Amino acid sequence: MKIAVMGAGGIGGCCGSLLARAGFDVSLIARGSHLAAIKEQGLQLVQPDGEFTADIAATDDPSQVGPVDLVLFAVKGQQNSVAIPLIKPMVGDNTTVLTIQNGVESAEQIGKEYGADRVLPGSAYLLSNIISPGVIRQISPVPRVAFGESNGDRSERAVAIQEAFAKAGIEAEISGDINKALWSKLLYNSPANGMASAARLSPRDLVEFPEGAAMVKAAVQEVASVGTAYGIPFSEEDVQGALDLIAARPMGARGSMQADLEAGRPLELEAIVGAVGRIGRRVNVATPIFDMLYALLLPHVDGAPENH
Amino acid sequence: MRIAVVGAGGVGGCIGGLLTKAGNDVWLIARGEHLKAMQTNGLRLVRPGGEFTVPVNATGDPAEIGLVDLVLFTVKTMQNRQIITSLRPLVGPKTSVLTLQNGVESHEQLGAVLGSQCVLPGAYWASSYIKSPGVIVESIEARISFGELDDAESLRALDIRKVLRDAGIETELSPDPMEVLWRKFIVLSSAAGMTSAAQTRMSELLKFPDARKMFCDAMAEALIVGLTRGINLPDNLVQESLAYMDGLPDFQNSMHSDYENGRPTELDALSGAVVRLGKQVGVPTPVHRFLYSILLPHKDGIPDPD
Repeated sequence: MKIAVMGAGGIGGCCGSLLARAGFDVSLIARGSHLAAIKEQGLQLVQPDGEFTADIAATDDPSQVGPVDLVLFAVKGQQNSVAIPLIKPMVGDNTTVLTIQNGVESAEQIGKEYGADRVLPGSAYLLSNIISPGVIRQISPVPRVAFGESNGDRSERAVAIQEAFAKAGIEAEISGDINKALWSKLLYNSPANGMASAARLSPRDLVEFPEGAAMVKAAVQEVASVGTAYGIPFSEEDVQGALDLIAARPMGARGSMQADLEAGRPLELEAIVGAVGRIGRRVNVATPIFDMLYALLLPHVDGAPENH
Repeated sequence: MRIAVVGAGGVGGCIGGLLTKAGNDVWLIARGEHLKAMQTNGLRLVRPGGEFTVPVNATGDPAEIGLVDLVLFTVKTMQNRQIITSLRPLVGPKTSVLTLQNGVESHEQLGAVLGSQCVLPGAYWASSYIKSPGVIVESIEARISFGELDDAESLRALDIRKVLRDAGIETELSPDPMEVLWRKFIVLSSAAGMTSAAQTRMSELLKFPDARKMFCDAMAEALIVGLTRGINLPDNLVQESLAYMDGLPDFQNSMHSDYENGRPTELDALSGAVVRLGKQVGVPTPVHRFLYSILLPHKDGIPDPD
């Protein structure tokens, strides 16, 4: 299977390294000093129980790669307007684009450009980040992704991707209801990441305060109300499940957006926070907490503002 | 006039320096390096109109000063619990205590310990800070508004106004100081909460429509709390305050600065007070409750590693 990984950050870089090590023909699309380092010395993956360097093709020019069987779409959401048209040379008649971006709007955005039938919506459950150019640290013991056809079918292409991932040591689940799965991630990730960013405190540390816990709960309920009105019904148990996931995180473990904010990098604000308000307005559900999070974080969306 | 300035930081240091320069018998109460520097080198004030250094009486112990005519109370609100009781040696039957603290509860906290008849509530507009020990920089020039709670143009209030004006401080005697305090409180609690939570100064935040709306929502709910508590406030205060903020030069409010530098913040006197005072009269305050919940973990600052 010929694979292109669009975006060699924490998630894309980790999955790409593992797939290359398993013998697949993998090309990474990356940029800047990270790309230069990968070209020079390969991509190093530091795992909880060891590390290895994958010899892996890397470029910033997808036309050098040409059509592939699978594009793993793993850039940050704020890059979509540039990144989606950029993958065109890699998308042929038999190409599947598997998106594992945060949020619930990614497959729709990619489908607009290449046709909905080419796109598999998916989600990554993996803490991983770039620690220096050419070096990725995988924090989660086992990388996990879930994906599936929007109609719930267990298609041939989904099974082929699952097998490839399994061979690479990535736990891959074909979801019978991928939209519910994406929304279920949004249900805990948006409140945890959004509130933690505004509070400058890890989600777990924030919920140690009763006031913080109450506000995080209200934020989860807001996502649940929007999802339910949008056709993804959430129950009280789902809300509690999301809160349990947040409470089970390690103390001090920051969300990806919080880490970006603290480092002054651009934020995935639209996919993680903006989406809740945007979809809420489509289905007439008020989202006061997410509107406030959005208002407070928007000045940082392109990186630290000049005057802060 | 014999005056003790309790808290010679950005606000108190600036007023204390000007009152000293005007020839009053002024004592500054301060702590640490700043106190030592003032005792050794005097106090240096850098103001928009020029700068000067003046020798000052400075001490860490109010008991050393004895009775005064006027106490200017300018410490940060989070210090009230420890400091108010230490003021007793300064306060006799003829002493006035003018508080210029942020928030709307300071005069009650002072009154509970020192007797409410000696306390005059006031508010202070300026932007000033301790630049280095013994040096205070004022970027927006001070303006004070204060008054008697019972609406009288008392002799003591007129005396205090004269002393402040003679020192070159723009001072207004208000017939309704609680209106003045609440006007400042409504703007400041909203601006301090939002700038801290957004880690972005007001001049930058106000470029964003979403932030402008949230700022107005925050002021509106604090205004309703004030109106419900019987404070005489204009209905158009939100629009008026937004225009006022739009007209200000770029500056950083003190809570934002404290938050950014890991120091204790005045959260309890600002957003915390909006929530608390709203709850007492059954007014919901979702914006300040939200701000309070995310700023609370940093309220006591980040402990010094040493």
